[in-house]
Formats: sequence, structure tokens, C-alpha cells
Amino acid sequence: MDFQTLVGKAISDEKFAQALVSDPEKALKEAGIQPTAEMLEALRGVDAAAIRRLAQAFGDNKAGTL
Amino acid sequence: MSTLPPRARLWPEVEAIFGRLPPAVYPAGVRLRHDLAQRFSPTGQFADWLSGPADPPWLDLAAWALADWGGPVGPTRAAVEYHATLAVAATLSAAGALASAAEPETGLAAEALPLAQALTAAAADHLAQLFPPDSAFWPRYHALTAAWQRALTTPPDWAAAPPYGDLHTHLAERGAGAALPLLSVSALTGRDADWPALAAMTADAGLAFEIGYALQAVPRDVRRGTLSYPLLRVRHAAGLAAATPVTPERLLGAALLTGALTSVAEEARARLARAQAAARALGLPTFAARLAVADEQLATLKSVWSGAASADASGVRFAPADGGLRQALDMAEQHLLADLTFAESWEVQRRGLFGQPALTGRVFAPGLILEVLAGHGLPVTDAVEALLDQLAADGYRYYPHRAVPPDADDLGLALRLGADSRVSARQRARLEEALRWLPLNQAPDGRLPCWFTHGVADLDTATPTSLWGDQCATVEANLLLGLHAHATPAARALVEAAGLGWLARWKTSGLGANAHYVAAYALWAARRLAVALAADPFPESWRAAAGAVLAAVAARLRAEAAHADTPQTAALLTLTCLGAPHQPALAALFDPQWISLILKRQRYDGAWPGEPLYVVPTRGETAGWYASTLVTTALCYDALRTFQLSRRA
Repeated sequence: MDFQTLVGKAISDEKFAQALVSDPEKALKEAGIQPTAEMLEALRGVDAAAIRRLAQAFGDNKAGTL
Repeated sequence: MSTLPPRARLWPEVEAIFGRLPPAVYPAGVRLRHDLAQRFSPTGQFADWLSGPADPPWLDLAAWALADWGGPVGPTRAAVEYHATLAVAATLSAAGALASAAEPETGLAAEALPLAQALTAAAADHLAQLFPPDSAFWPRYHALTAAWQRALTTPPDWAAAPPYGDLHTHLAERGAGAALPLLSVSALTGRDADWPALAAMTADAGLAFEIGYALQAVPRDVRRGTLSYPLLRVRHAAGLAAATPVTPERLLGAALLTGALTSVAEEARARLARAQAAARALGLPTFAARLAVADEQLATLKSVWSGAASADASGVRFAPADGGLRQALDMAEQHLLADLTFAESWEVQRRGLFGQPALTGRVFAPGLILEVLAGHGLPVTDAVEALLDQLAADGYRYYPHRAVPPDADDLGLALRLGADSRVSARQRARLEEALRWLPLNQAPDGRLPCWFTHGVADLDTATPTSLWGDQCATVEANLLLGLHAHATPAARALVEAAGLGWLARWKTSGLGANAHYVAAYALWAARRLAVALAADPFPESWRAAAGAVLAAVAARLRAEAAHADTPQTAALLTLTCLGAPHQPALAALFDPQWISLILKRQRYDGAWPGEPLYVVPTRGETAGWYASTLVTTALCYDALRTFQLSRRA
């Protein structure tokens, strides 16, 4: 999974976004994604709380689901 | 003189435009009003159409311009305000009709053009009250009308490249009707010379609002896989061509990480700023102030899509992603669960028979409904247990009378319901007992009949009974599906004896092998059984025959789709195409307009009007069709849920 897809998954899945905020490494493993050092470093550069709020804002209008 | 704001004062007249539409387009007008309210009203009410902070204030602009410019006074001013505002409302509605035609959930496709023509004619009638035929207003008006009509009936050029000039022009022209308020009022207040500047100002503002809507619709468009100007910019920023297949998650991630959407929002804000400056210079402070509110919305959108820590998305009205699907499902579910006896479904199935004033077939239709509800995990296990008890007590008969033999449809239904792991073992044991009839009634070639007349101890054979259609591939499929779900050695042996023959008959005769059900239901049943027989534990040698049946189902489905003009038919075709397990060839035939049709025809109470499903005898032994609101509602609900699940897969 590339980094853009990872962030997109977080935006479209509020639970995943929350897990990513709490413990990125654990959340990635639970989602079946092997966390790489590059990925974790890149995640540190993103405001995960903002992603979580965006996922909340989408609410029922999540991408990929109805 | 009324103290109400012009919009509130004139709104009944806006509604009346729709009330006076020609009968042929009147129903489409009602649907258009609902669509406009759902998509462009902050309250969901049509009276609040285009009144939210992110909405362009075109409906108010004529009154604002008259107030700011100090136009004609007295009756003349009232007439200008009245006719100009109503002409704008009719014009924007016409543009909305053409835009709605491209929205899969609106169902306006075929009626959009005549509806837009009727609304445009209504607008012209109002304008004719203000401008004589030789007025210089008309050439400008016709140019505006031609621009928005052309832009709304021509797809954007998604091959566009930076700086996207032609695409901007196209998007601005889609909203060209927005210039009508100022075109009208400027012509009537001696500001003809200002028209070029006014036109440029409304084009700037219009494009900014278009982009704002598109930014709000990004999650929806990503999910639908449709392109918009902001998403084109995201793709280009991520190095993706417009047509490159990409997952929704990748696109959403790119939307946030590339910063393309913040650039798009900033671009829209720049246009708003230019329009604001022009509005002030042209003596339109009310409009300028309103554009400042719109700018705050764009600033919020920009912040949200920047992923900034300070972003607060709570004030953003993202476009509904599902076109009301979730609400429709909730309403249908509540309607179905309101009465677990499903009385309406069997109240319609009373018949004077065997000298009795009324026999009621009260188990089969409720069973079909329960099968749908249980299949989607709803808590109906107690009702299923009670129904299975009743089916067993009635001897798996459609009508509870000893002169009526048990039938394959009722037993098949019981077997399918009994296969649910939440149902008690007691029911499964009793169903196994009922299987004893089947070998006695099975033909030498394995075919299973509709009626079981052999080996039924309590069958009254002395009373004359006419039994219709003892051979029906759809009824047999329903039984075989039940036996397959029951999955005991005895049940499996029966399927192994009957399955290949059923496949051969369907392959040879197609729908000709169906006797009792409407065609779309027969296709759905055939699809389910063919898919089941093509998998383990059945012989591999059956797979070619099952594949041929599925190909025949697909071929016939194409023909049925040509007249899928009712919700139940659309539902059954949806189930045939999208039901589990996934069948790519059938899924490719799915038409999203079927979902649109189902959604559009849902009643206020969550139900759909009953439609014919299977043949039943009526008084005097003539044929009629079973139809009930609840069974049709269950099938429509099943189709919408299946569609929802297919989108999640």
C-alpha cells in the first residue's frame, strides 16, 4: 500500500483514523499493512488529528462506502 | 405593502411556476424540486433553495440590485422585482433540470430536456412582461441562454491541461443563467453601459461558487468514480492522467497530500475577491457583503483540504454521497419491521375455496419477507421460528386445507429459512422429516414437481382440486436452493439427482421453463441456483452447463432491462446482477438507473407500491397475480442493500 492510499484509507475510515492517531504502528499492523520506517516517518509529517477530524466530517459520506 | 423580504414574499409564486407546468412534465418538475432542495438547500426545504452560505445568492440578486441602485419606485419597481425574480427562479430551475440529468440518483434523464424547455418558456413569459420584443435585452438574454444550455448538455473536456482556460470557461458557462438578475435590472435602470462589467463580475462569482460546490462534492465524486475540476487537478498533481484507474483511497490521499485542492480553493477565492471588488465599484454593496460570507466558506474548505491542525470541517456541508440511499433503507426497514405478522402481505391472499368463504394463504408471502430481513441480519429469529411452526402445521401448503397438496415453493422457503444458524435444531429436524415426500414425487429424470401428491398422509384426495402448472423451473429452483441450504445427505442426494436436469432444461428453454413467476424473478432464481450448482460439492462436470445457464440469464436480462420501468423489476434485475457471490459478466450489466428508479418511487411511508410477482388463482378459477406492498418493499429493500454491499466490496 502506498502512502497516498494509506492516508486515503484513514480519511474514509474513522476508526482507522483514530487508531492511527493513537498508535500508528499498531494500527497499520492491524490493518494488514507492514509498517516501514519510511511510512512511519511520513506519517509523523502529517497532522493525524486533522485526518481524524476530516474522517469524522465525512461521516456517512465516506469514500468507498455508503 | 408587505414587510416580508422579497424572497419570502415571492416564494409562493416560485412554487406556482412548477404548479403551472404542462401535465407531461409536471411529475418531473416535482422530482426536480426535491432534487434541488436536497442538493442546494441548507434545510432540505425547497423554500430555502440557494439560501445557505455556500450557495450563490442568485435568487435574491434582482431585489438587492433594485435596493442598492435605487431603481424605479412604486408599481414599476414591484413589477420588475416580481418578474425578474420569477424569471431567474425558472431559469435556474431549467439549468438545474439539465444538470440533474447527469446525476444518477435523480432519474430525470429522459424528462430533463422537455422540463428545461418548459421552465425556460416560463422564464421568457415573465421577461416579456418587462421588455418589448425589440429591446436590446433579448439578444443578450438569448446569448446567455444558449451558453448555459450548451455547457450543461456538453461534457467538460477532461483532457484539459494547465492553465485550464477552456475548462474554466465551460464551468462558468454552466452557471451563465446567474447573470440574468443583473442583466434584467441593469437594462431597466439605465445601466446598459455597465453590462460588460456586470457580466464579468457574475462570471467570476459563478465560477467560484461552482468550484466551491465541486470541493464539497469531492468525497462523493471520489466514491462514485466521477471526475470534477478539483479531482482533475488532484490527478495531475499526483501524476495521474484523467482516465487512469485509481482506488478511491488513493485519490483521497492524493487530495490531501498533494495540496491540489487548497490551490483550487485559493483560485476560487481569488475570483470571489475580484467579484467583490467589482460589486463595490458597481454600487452593489449587498452582493459584495454576501460574497464575503461565501469567501469564509471557501477559506474553511481550503483549510479542511490542507489537513491543517486548525481545520474545522464541522461547518462544511459535504455533498450527500449516496443520493438518499441510507435514508431510503432506514425507511424501508422501519416499514417492514413495524408489523412482524406482515398482515398486508397475506390479507391480499384470501380465496373462497372448497365451500369455505375464505381461506388465507398466510405463510408464504411473510416467509419471503422474513428471508430478506434475516438475510441482512435483522433480529427476526423469533418470527422465523413462528413461521416455520405454522408452515409445518399447515403441511407446507400455500392454503391451509387438506385438499391442497404441499408444494415445492413452501417447502423450499422453509428449508432456506431453516438453514439460518440462528434457527433452532428442532426446526431442522422437522424439515428433514418433510424431505421424505420428495423421492416419492421426483420424476425418473430427477425433476421435482410443484405439487407433492404422493406419500402425503393427510392429503384429501376425495375433494376435486385443480392444480396449475406442476412443472416450473423457478419453483423447482426455489426448492433446490432450499435443499442446497439444508445441506444434509438426503437433501444433497436430491439436488444431485435433479440439478443437472434442471440446468439442461434452463439452458434449452430459458424463461420458457418458468411458469409461475414474473420474468425478472425467474432470472434471479436461475442465477442463484446456477451459481450454487457450479460450485462444490457438485461435480465439476456441471460447471459448463451452469455457465451456459448464466450466459442465457445474462442474454435474457439484457432484453428485460429494456423495460425495467418499475421498482420491483429494477430490484430483481439489480439482485440478479449484483447478488453474491460476485459474477463479473452479470455485474457488468448492472444499470445504476435501476437504483435511481427504486429510490424515486419509494412512498412517503418507506414502502413501494405492490407489483405482480407470481400467478395465483382467483375467484372463478381465472388467473391473477399475487401483489403486495410488503413483498415488493422487501425486494426493493433487498436490492438496495445488495447494491450498498456491492459498493463496499
